Amino acid sequence: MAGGDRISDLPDDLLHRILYFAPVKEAASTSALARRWRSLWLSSGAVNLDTRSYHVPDDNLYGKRATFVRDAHAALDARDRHCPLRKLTFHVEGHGWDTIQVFLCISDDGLKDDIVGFVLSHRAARSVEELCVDAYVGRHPYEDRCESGYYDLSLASLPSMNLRRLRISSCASLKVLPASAPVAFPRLEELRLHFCTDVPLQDLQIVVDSAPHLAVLELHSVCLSSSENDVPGDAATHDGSPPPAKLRCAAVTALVMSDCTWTNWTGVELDAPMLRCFKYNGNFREPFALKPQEAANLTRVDMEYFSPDMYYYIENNTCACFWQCAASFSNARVLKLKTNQLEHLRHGPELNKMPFRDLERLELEAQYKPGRSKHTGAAIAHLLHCCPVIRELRLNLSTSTASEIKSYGYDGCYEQDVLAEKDQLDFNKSVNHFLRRRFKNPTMSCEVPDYIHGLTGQSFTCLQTSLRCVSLRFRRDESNRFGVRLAKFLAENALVLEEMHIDDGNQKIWEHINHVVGRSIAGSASGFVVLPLETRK
Amino acid sequence: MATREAGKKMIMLKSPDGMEFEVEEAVAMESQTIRKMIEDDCADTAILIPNINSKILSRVIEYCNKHVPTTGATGAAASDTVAPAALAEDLKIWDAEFIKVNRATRFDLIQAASYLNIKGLLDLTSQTTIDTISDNSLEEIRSFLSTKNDYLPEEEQTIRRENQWAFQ
Repeated sequence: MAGGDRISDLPDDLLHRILYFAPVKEAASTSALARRWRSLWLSSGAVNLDTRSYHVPDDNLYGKRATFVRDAHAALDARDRHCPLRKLTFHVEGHGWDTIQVFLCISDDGLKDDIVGFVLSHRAARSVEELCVDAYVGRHPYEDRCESGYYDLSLASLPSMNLRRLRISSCASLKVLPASAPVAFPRLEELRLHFCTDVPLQDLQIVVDSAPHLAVLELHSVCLSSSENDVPGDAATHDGSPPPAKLRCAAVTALVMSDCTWTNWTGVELDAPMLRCFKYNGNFREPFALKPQEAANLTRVDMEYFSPDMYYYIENNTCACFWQCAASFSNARVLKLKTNQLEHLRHGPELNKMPFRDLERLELEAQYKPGRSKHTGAAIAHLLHCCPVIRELRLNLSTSTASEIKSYGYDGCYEQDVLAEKDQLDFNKSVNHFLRRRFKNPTMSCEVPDYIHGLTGQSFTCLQTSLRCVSLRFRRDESNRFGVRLAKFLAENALVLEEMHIDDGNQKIWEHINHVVGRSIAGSASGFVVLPLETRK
Repeated sequence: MATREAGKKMIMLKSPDGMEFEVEEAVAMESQTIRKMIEDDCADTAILIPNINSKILSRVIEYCNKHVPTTGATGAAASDTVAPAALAEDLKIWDAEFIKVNRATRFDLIQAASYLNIKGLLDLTSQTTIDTISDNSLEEIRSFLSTKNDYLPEEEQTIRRENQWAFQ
């Protein structure tokens, strides 16, 4: 290779740092590069076991496994004589979930085996601060996820005393086994479980309770189950459905729950008094709640709601459930809401309930259906009503894809809405109106279809007193004039606005709006600028 | 953004080739090295960053801008430094694009990340370096690293025997 790399010029500690990420077989082979490299790999602090280092066909699975385990022990032996091990990772990849399962947990004679446990029993593993067990089918962690996990792991067998970060993915059954074993994670700070199919809530609770410093808890596609004695019969709610699952996380400050399912529970109730960041991604069919008034420090909430369903009947339930969940976030300062069906929120929260009373910034990234701007407008109106002191609003709106719209035809509402909107002028005419105003200087009149259901004519506390900055991003397509109307509405009604950023996909609407609105408020005391939204690369 | 909130403190970073970069203090403090300077009050007006040219410094600032815990125009989340990693799936995609650079630039970024002590950038550059050299033979890696084999033949044999498992 011409010129070569200058990596060899780097000091030893940086080379350690780089080798920290290398699969252990490759790392060990660097010892033969040159004298300087002889023992560099031993001081990297990490052993990364990776099946990709072994180019063995899957039909020799047992041979591959024997080599994998032998090398793991050789690497740990070598490390044991040198500096203490800080990170140990397993990266197991296979062409199918069955090969991974056989590799990790079925021995030659068909008996249950436990490769991970066997490696972890090595003396050198005791000092480990970071442990990751990842199993993937295919190259990408999120591709081809199997419904069931690939292996069983006993939490009691982990080298837990020094562990600070633990990540486990694609585990079939993650339990505290044997049940009587004492579990202690005195230094654990981060626990991440991804794609785990059977994690008894009780066992998760034991781990969380035994980790006094646990600050980050991430549950992604985890199925939390109940053991029989978990749910007392008399705890069922009045309508016969099971009670919510309860999870206590005394020290957790950042919690991620995405696509989790709860078997034999109805939703979840979280007791997390120290929580500061919360990310929830789910279908909002089952409620979650923070114990009222508990999370006083909660400042940032990310909610993602993606529904593949096009069926009309679940909407009302979803909507009620969303607002019920939102009630937990009354202290939040920043809310990021992402949804593919904004119109689901067209019904507001119950009267006199103000879920986001302290919210200072709302980021909404939403898809809505063209032709249903009535519901979209109503949804935005509800959100604005709920945020009386909001200072910054970021909207990123796009329309649902054509295929989604097509399958949406079922409920009949779509066509109705489209017909209603046919009465209005299309986008180009609206632009023409802007242009004509520019030259003719007419008074602000209703000649452009400005009306937005739910917004026009309504009074919003935040628009009158607090909203300083608006970023609006939308893509114009033939059926979408909603973004333009919304921009106009905000420009005309947000009385203390200082900045407005618009990105409409190079249509330069901001120039027109700046012109028109700038003129209309020229006489008033407050003024603001309209700017194109910076597009980040 | 054209206007800046009055509440945000700005820091001037200077590269040895004379370029000046005005960045928010919070962004600059993604670097533990700069953070320490600021906290020790060694940085009133401008900080000279030695050994990092303006091209690399601007990339580093771009990285820090993206990774600083998000603060809005309101500064609502200014104190919100808790575990951004937990909320950072989008960042990974951004990182993957960011690090698509040639080897010379990546090398400069490693050194810059090391000097400025920016853990995330150091991890990213290290991981990428490993990704580009794994799957190569030892001889290829040697040439990639411009390392000369200074072992005597019998020494190399001993080394290979010590860690025999790694050479099979």
